[in-house]
Amino acid sequence: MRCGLILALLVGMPVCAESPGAALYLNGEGADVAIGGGRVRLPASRFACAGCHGVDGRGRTEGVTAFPPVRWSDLSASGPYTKESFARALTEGVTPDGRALAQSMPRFHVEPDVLASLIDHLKALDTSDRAGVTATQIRVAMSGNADLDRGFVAAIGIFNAAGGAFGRDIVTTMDSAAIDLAAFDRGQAKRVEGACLAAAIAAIRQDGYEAVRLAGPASGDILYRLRAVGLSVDANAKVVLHAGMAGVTPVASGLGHYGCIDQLGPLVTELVGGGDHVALAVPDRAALGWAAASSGHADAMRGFTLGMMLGRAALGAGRRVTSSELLEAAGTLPIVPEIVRLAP
Amino acid sequence: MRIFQVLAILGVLQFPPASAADAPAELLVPPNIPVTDKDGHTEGFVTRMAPRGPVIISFFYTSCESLCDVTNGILYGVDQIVMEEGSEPITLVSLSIDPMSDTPAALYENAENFSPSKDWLWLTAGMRGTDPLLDGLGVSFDSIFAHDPMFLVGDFCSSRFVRVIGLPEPDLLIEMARKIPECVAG
Repeated sequence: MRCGLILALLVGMPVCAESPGAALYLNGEGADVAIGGGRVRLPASRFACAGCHGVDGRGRTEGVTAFPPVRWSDLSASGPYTKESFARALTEGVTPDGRALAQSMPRFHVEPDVLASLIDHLKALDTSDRAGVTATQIRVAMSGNADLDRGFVAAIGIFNAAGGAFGRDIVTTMDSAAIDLAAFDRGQAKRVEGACLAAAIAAIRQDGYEAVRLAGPASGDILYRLRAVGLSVDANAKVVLHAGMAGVTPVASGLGHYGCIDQLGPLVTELVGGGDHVALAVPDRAALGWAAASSGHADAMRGFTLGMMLGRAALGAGRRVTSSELLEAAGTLPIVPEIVRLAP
Repeated sequence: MRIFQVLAILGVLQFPPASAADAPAELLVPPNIPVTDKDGHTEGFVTRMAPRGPVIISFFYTSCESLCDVTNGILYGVDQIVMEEGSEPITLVSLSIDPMSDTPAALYENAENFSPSKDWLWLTAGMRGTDPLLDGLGVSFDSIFAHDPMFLVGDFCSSRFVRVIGLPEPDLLIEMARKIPECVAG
């Protein structure tokens, strides 16, 4: 998810312009990689530079594999690199001083104009890696969704009151060179939905049921997840899994309802009032508590959750953090939903 | 993962040992846990693998954009070379380590990037089966986001596998797979 999504999350950065070099760096466009000593070639679309070296070019580690920084200033310090020697490193895996690059670095085949553009992009990274993060602030552009923004502001207020992270507060801004809250929300939505769905299905199984009826489409994905834990779909089952579509209410009563709070939440009053049991998968219990106390709706609660996630990521990502590192850290935070049960 | 860190300190992780093709095999007897492929077909892992002869297994997750793609790129090289040569097939397995996200649909989408042949299987053992299957294959990761590249080369008839940690050339994996003695079950 790193390059495409994080690119989307960082607005207004000069590196975002889709020059051929940026397209190669961020999305692996415009090049092939050579495999097996050049015997086999593959489009570089799954081998974007940013996937390993980071959108900011500052390098990363994965397991025991270190991906070095590749901003032009970093390369020049270890080189010196010229256009010719950079081309040799990229295509043959040999550095200016004759060292062989690690096997984890694919060998690329790039046209000269794309290569020149890539060098320009690496030079631009030198000046862009602090966008959105200053010495005292992590700047976030509001989404325009009033409820989402309200929840986010509430959460960062708590985070800032607790001391922030490494001398930085999270602040909202209209500045374009900031983290885009709306894109951050979109980026996390799939992860949150998947974690909530898994938690709801696990709860059904733990409660001893072997079959469910579905409120929402019976997609292959949901059917696979049910089968994987030994649940079958039965239109007469005593429990309902709400998945894939908000606001779908089965006509029968006296049932148990399971689902993510985003989808099942709006139905809770009606269902519990009608005598049904409800089990809500909630990604962040603190967000639920805040929403209950402040009459916040689902979007506000999600905004609160995002604020808390960004805060946790800021604490975990360290002092010398860039926006893209912060977003990567947020993207790897575990989401462990809790089940909140409501009885009639 | 600690063993990998030790291996890295010893300097053997960046490249597989030069003698990887002759490295000693280890006995692995994973449980016959149901696995589902990218097309939604479910069958016991061992049942599915046992009749297939030489197998090369690697580990990945679909949202990974770094080393997983390099390991799958190496399998792509093996797949293409074997097809070009028209030689005896080698079964390739990309086994997901992220059962939460990697449903068959996600596997299918990821596999499309590599145009796999019919001998390249993209598998998940699901939420319940992934950990025990990885345990059975002697694989343990602290985190899916920090796993190291690894290949297992062997066959499920003899249950003997050579573990290659790092990023070997496709030709080396093919050579290793070709060296596996023919095995007759039972």
